[in-house]
Amino acid sequence: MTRPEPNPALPGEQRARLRQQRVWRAMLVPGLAAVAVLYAVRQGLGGSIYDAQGQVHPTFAIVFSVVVALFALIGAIWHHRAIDEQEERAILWGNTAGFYTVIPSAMIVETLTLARLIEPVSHVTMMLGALAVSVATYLWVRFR
Amino acid sequence: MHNRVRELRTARGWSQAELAGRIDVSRQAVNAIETGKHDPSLTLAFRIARLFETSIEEIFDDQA
Repeated sequence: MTRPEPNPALPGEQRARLRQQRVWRAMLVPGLAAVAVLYAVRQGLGGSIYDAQGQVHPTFAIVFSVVVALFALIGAIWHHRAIDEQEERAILWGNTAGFYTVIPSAMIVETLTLARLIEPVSHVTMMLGALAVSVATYLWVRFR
Repeated sequence: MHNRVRELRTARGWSQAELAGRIDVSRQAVNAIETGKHDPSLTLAFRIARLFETSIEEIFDDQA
């Protein structure tokens, strides 16, 4: 997978549009392919991801885990080959901010929980909080 | 870092999107470089200098 060179025969603004499409394609194609695979698996399980007991079907859960990991990896590699250095910088700062948000938060929450001063906090909630910080930082660096 | 990218771009009558397409970066990257919020890598600085047919030192100045 090599990064396509811009066609020097095209006007700059058209090349900029093609480049933007390349970035979006790198995110959307793996995402849509993953959704298509998961939809096919769902159809193969009789049109529902739940089993007779109302739980998520183990087959779907396993396929979901593999598909998300695989297509996220493909999308990440493709996306990082499509973006420029300023976009990459924004992503790195966003990830760094998210990392430094979740680590102290986890330590504080864990200690307060062990001391029974607070109720246990969902890991998903903490992850979403860190994700929000990541996204806000990314957007600030990218578009300020 | 101070630079003359905006000056060189406008002298040619190019929009930021036009320059962005010519050096294969986003329009936001061009804006960030012009306003000094992003210092380009050496590779990108060379690409900019070649496009404007001048040297990197003529465009970027870390002393200003």
